[in-house]
Parts: sequence; C-alpha cells; structure tokens
Amino acid sequence: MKKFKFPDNFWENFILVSIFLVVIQTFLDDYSHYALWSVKARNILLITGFFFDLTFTIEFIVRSILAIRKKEFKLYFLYRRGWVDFLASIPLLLLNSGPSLYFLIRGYHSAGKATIGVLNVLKIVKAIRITRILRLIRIMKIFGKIHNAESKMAQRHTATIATTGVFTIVIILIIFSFFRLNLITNLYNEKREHYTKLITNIENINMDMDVPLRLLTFKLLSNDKNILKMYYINFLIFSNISEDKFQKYYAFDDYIIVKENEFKLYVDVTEINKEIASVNLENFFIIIFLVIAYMIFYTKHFVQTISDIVYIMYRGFTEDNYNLQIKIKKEYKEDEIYKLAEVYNDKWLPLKLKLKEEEKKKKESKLSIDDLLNFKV
Amino acid sequence: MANLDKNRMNAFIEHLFNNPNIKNEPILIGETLIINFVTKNLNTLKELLRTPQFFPDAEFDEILQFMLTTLRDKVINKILPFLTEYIDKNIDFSVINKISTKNEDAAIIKNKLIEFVTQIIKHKDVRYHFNGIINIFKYGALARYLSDIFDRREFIYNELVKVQKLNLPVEDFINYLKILLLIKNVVYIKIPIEANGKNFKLNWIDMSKVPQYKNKFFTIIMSVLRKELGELIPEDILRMAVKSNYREEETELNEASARLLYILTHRFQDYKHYEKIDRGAETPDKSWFNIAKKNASYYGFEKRMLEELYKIAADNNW
Repeated sequence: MKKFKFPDNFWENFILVSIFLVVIQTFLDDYSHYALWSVKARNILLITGFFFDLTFTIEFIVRSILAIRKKEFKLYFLYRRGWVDFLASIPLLLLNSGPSLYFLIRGYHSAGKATIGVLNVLKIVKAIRITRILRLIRIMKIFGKIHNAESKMAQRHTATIATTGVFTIVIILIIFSFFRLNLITNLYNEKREHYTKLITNIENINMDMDVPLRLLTFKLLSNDKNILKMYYINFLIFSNISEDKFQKYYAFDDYIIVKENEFKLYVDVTEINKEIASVNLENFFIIIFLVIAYMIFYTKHFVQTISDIVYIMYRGFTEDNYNLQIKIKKEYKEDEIYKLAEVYNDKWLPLKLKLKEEEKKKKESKLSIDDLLNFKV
Repeated sequence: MANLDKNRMNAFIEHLFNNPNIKNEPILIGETLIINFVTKNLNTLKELLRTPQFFPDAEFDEILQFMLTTLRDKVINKILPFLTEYIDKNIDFSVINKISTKNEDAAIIKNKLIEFVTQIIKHKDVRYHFNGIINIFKYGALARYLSDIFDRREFIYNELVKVQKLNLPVEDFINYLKILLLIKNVVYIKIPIEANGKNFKLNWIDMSKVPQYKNKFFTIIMSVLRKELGELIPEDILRMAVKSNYREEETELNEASARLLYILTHRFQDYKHYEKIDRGAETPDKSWFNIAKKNASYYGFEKRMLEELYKIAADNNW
C-alpha cells in the first residue's frame, strides 16, 4: 500500500495560514471585549488563541531541534528570525493563553484572591500578544510574489526594518503596560470603594431615618445601570439584567462583586474593559499598518533602488547574452549603487561586447568533447 | 558514404543542437558554434567518431564531410523557407526601376534574388551573417526605424536623402534597404585571390588579416555581382550592398545607406528577443545603441547615426 505523505511544503503552508488566522484571532479577541460578545464566543477565541500559541510553540521547538541537529541553531535563532518565532510563541503560551485557559477550566471564582491579582496581570500582559504580528514578517515571501519582490535581499532587509519597528513598539507597549496595570487596578478599586461608601451611607441613613433598608436601597440604587444585581442577606433586592442575559454576556472579568456587611453588589466593569480593548485595538492597527506599509512601500523602494539593479548587474556579469543597461534614476544618481551601475553601463558592457567580439574571432565554441560522450541513438 | 547511417547522423546533429549551451541560440549561431567546435577538436574527434557509439564503419574524412553536409542541409532547410517567403511577400522590387534607368519586371528581379540568396546561403559564413538580416526582417526593424527617421528628418534622413541623393518615400527606402541586405552577405563567400603568385580563397573575414587585399577583393566581388545580378540590378545598388560591410571611415560620403545597414546588421546579428524586460533595465535597443556609442570607434560605427538611433529607441521604448 502506498504510504501517505504530506507534500513538502504542507507544514510551511499550514504555518502561513495559521499566521493569517492568528492575526485575525488577535483582533477578534480584543474586539469581542470591545463589542461585548457573548461569553461563549470569547471563550472560544481564548481556546483558539491557546491552540495557536501551542502550535507555534511546537513549531519553534521543532525548528530549534532541527537547527541544533544541523548545528545551525545560532544561524536560525539570530539570523533567520528564530527569535521572532520564540517571542511569538513560548512567552505567549506561558504568560497569556496558557494561564487564561487554566483559569477558564478551573473556574475563576474558586481560585481565591491571589488568582484575581494574577488575572488582572494577565489582562495587562495581553499587550504582548501583539508580538504575534511579528510573524507577519514570515509571510513576506508571499507578499514578495505579489509585489514582484522575490529578491531574498529585499525580503531580508524589509523584514529587518519591519522587525525593528514592530519590536520597538512592542517593547514600549510592554513597558507602558506595567504603568497601565496600576492605572487599571485603581479604576477597579475606585469603583469598588465608591459602592462600598454608598452602601455605608445607605446604612447610616437607614439608622437615622428609620426607613426600611431594602426599600431605601431599592429607591436609591435601582436606577444605577452599573449595578447589575444587588442582594441583601442572599435575597435579591433588584436586578437590572435578566439572569439569562447575565449568564450569556458577563464573564468573570466583566463585573466586580462588592460585599459590605450583608449587602452584595454585582457592579458592571465592561466600560473599563472596553477602554482596555480599545487601546489594544489601536496598538494592533498601528502595528499591522506599520508592517503592511513596510511591506508595500519600503519593499518597493528597496527593490527598485537596490535589488533590481544588483540583479541586472548579476545577469550582465554571468550571462553571455544579457547586455541590458541599468536605468539610472536621476533623483538617486549620486547613490553609490547608481554610481556602480554607471560604471557597469559605461565600462563593463562595452568591454564585455568587445571581449565577445574577440572570442568570435578566435572561433570559440560553447561545446566540449564531454557533450558528445552522452550521445545515444 | 555507404557506411554512414543518415538517421544516426541526424540524431547526432540534433544531439549537438540540444546541448544546453546551444539550445537557446538561433540555429545559425548554433551551427557556427558546432563548426567551431569541430574545427578546434579535429584530432580528438578523429578517434571518437569512429568508436562503436558513433560511426565505426566509415573513414573520418567521410564522417566529417557527411556531418557538415547534414548540418548545412538542416540549417538551410530551416531558414531558406522563411527567407524566400519573406522576399516573395514583403519586398517590392519595383523600387529598383525608380532609382535607375532600368525597367525590369519586378517579378523577374525577385526570382533572381531568391535564386541568388539560395545560392550564396550554401556558404557557411554567408549563412552565419544572415542571422542579423533574418532578425531585421523578422522583427520589422527597417520599417520601425525608417518610419521614425523619416518623421524626424534629422541627421540620418539628411544623410540618406540629401547627401546620398536618394529622394524616395519611406516605403520605397525600406524596400531599397531590404534589397541591399539580400545582397550584402556575398562578401562572405570565399573567392580566389591571387597574391604573390599564389591563389588564396579569401572572404571578407580574412580581409581583416590582409587589409592590403581589400581593394582587390572589392574589385573581384563586384565583378562576381555584376556577372550574377548586373543585368537586373544597377551597379550603384550592388556597390552599396557590398559597402554595407565596411567600417564608417572606409565608406564614401554618399554611402549613408551602407553606414546605416552596417550598424543595423551588427545590432541584430546577436539580437536577443526579450519577452519581458527586467524591471530597472533599459530596453534592448536603447541599451545596445548606448553601448555601441562607447564602442563606435572599435566597430567603425557612424557616431551621429548611433546617437539618433539611440534617441529613436529611447522614445519608442525599443
């Protein structure tokens, strides 16, 4: 029986498709928080993200092992963008999608106070997911074909400059995310303190004016749309949302629970999450457009002013019948490459044709005796 | 040649043409490369071609003769139909009557020139130099450049029409130049020349080694042409055709057509047709004329003509 074998470029294409998908997933992950998608949809995105990170981690490990076997790990890691593969795989799996999935499976509310802290950190660490976009650089060869920029040199140079740009932004985002961690924690705390004080005040009024506590609380707080539900000694005083809707759209991190004496409030924090998601989306688009701009404009510029010229010279030096001159762009004629092209046009090609003429006179042939030996009737 | 298998020889010639270094060359260039190879490796081939793999039952001279004949026939069979069809359909020979006192039937002139080309093309050096002419015909170079030259009315037009005193409309001029091209390669036939009491068979290529015989060669070649074509074609045309093989400094002031054809046949001899030009590269004709300007004195090109042809190529993206 014929053994099934994947085509040689199957895995390469699989990874390229995964890169496209992971970029879309990264966008949707933030957009789902911004647009308050259902918890189920967001969980699916979380799980998908985990599997992408797992796939890329496996890919990085396999590539590393293969490179180590060939004693080319340094070459792979430093010069063939192995470090990009690394940054966009293992740290994401260990610091972002892995822990998120762990808490999803284990259940958030059973995790205790320490876990809540960790979850807040995870929200901020999400910023590093942006490193996934670095992977777009891997698909440059596809872009190269679209753009007529098959030149390896052009691809490498664009990749280097795009990586530098993206990496710089990512580093800045990660540094600033630590400051934002504090800022966001404060926002949650302010909200928590605000409602704690409110309950304390209601209790004081209740004592001073002898109004029934549940009635007073209902009258004063039921119009506050930030309060999703309110309990008093485990009895529901009021709810601004149906239980079905609450279950469907509110994940553990979309609300905070404020407990004060016998009161328990479910306070909506989706506005804060929206703000975080909108900043993340903004960063996502800055980086995406930066990478695409490099791919389109810089690659085109590099190809037209460097690699095309080198390619024509290479053909002119190596191919007997290739004698096309290089177009010298007036605006760049002082560039070293165009000065070299001028020498190629004005010195080398005329000399080459003269040499060819002399060869003709010597009646040289491109055939050799060896070419005859393989003759068969 | 009884012991020589024609099929085997055809296969052998085919094998040589299929060599990666020859495969992409025009057949006329390929033929020359094969002949050069044979000439340079005669001693080795002497042994090799008589081995069982090749032609074990024949003498080497016989093999060599058979090989060169087969090669020649293959090449002629390939190019002659193109040339005869081109002459038949694309050249109007009535132009001859417009520039001379002769009043010959254009069809008779045409048939005579087809016969003439069929004869001279049997000579290998003549064939080789037909590559440029075939390319000029194939890619419509004369029509393209002449139309532009006549539109511009600059240096080349002035040289052709006013200095050479050949006031013809552009279509007639194109036909005139095509007729010159059909005749010009006659100089590559080896003709007997007597020197120091000895007889040598020399052609135009040999003249670069013995330039002292150029005048004598010219006289003999003109007498050959007069004998072959003189009745139908005026001497001026025959002389202009022969002079189109001469360097600029060897031509007379009123031989502008010769100088123009000298450039164009050089340009199209090693012509490579590009389906697609690499981005960032100049167009083929523009490149060639620009390089030719640098090498003008080496090849003997008329610089001002090159300058104008370069401009035409640049303006038309040729």
